[in-house]
Amino acid sequence: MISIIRANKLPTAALLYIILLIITGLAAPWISPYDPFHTNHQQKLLPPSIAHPFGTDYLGRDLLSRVIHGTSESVFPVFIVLSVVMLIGLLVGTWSAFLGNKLDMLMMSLTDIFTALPSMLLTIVVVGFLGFGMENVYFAVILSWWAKYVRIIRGLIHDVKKEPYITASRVSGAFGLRIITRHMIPNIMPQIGTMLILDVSKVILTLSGLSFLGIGAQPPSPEWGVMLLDGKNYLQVAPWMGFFPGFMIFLTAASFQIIGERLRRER
Amino acid sequence: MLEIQRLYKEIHGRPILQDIHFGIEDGESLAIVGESGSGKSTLAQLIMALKQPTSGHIFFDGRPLPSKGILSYREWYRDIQIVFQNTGSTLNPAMSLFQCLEEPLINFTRYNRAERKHKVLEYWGKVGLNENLLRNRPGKLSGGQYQRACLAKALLTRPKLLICDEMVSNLDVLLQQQMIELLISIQKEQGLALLFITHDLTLLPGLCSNIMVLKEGKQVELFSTSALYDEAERDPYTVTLLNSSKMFETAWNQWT
Repeated sequence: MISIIRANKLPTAALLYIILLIITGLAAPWISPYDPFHTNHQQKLLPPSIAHPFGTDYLGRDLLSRVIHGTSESVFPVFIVLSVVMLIGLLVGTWSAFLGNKLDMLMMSLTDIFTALPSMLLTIVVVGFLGFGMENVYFAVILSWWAKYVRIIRGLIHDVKKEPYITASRVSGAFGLRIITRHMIPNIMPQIGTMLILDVSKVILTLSGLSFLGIGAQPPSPEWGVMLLDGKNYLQVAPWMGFFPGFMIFLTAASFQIIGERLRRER
Repeated sequence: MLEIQRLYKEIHGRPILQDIHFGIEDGESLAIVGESGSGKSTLAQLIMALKQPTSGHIFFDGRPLPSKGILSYREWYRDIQIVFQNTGSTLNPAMSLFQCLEEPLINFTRYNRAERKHKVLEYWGKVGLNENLLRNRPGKLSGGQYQRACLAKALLTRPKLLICDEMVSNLDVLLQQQMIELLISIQKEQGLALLFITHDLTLLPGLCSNIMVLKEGKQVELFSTSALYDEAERDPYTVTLLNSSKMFETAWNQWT
């Protein structure tokens, strides 16, 4: 165990950070020192100090409390978005590859259309139609990501389908859904898992990027992208307002990337 | 029991098997011999309903070859099992060996978990493997152990007919001999019918009672194993096959 940690110092640190982040996000109401929405005009734009480790913003709200509360709005939705995307990918991708022929061709043409559209543009168009707000952004992101997963999972299943153990499992009496769930999916899980973790950082950046552009989460939400947008206006007066949320986005995205890269090397 | 009538198979317009006809009775053992590309493996796949014949019929106990419907396939595979050529990937690499072996029992029988475990252990021991190996993934096994595991898996549901497709071809000579002996003892014990597909004629005496020779998808001859060395009666092609395996023996004797 210790030798594994010693050989992987950076991934271990990244993993610890993520575990800590998730615990912090879940325990936010109990561990944050102040109410993240409480404004106090006597204490606005204070630099980091012992009372306010990350400083305060232009309304006097404590930035540390806001960053802690922002975890559940900046990081957790990513897991939901990716779970939905993977679920769609697994359902559509496996059946498409498993059944083959015309349905497969139709599905692949459809995913071609979606992968050809630039995802940022598609997201902005969808949000333009549905209106601002986080729920619409999640929907838009799912819409621009599902095709990639369907294609990749379909490709993986297509390869696994030719393996001798799939033929052998037929002879052992496994058919249809049973072959898919017991023999195909477990054998593509390592690849999908790595891909998912590598994509977490991309989705984090997309979601906070959209909030930064003002089409995702709306103020006074403590979402990190929104905080970064607030900080932009006070960059010269109170640089800590932009630095801390920005640094959190960077650290979180980098951690997932480091773990993903480590897993990819494993295979 | 197994009845094959006027079987033809074409793949992309190229004939692979032409006019194959033979039968196997209860407890009988037949060897199918031929060089690479003679259609031996295609024949095995046809009997296992993994491919459908272009024309001709395959019957097992009067039932025709299944072509659709999971139930008819299940019924077919309950009676006929196969051990594939040793390629090291016929067991699911994501499962433990116990799960791999449990698979046919889950699909074909109504045994509960304890009964399944008991059965798996029984056959695992029968093929001479150590119980501790069951927790491992298939990738941990050596070539000989792998084929034994596949054999155990095929035998678990007590099929009436076992097809061995080049089962020992990738093993070294000593392991080949052990596997053949194991097969003979299991066949005697269970009264199993055997279809043994190989390119090596020298393996057959003692194991199979009859031999069918295939050449380029055509049936050359079908004869009793006791007449194998009777060169006057054998087809010239059979003699060539036999001599080619003898040649290795002679070369070996000259070297040592």
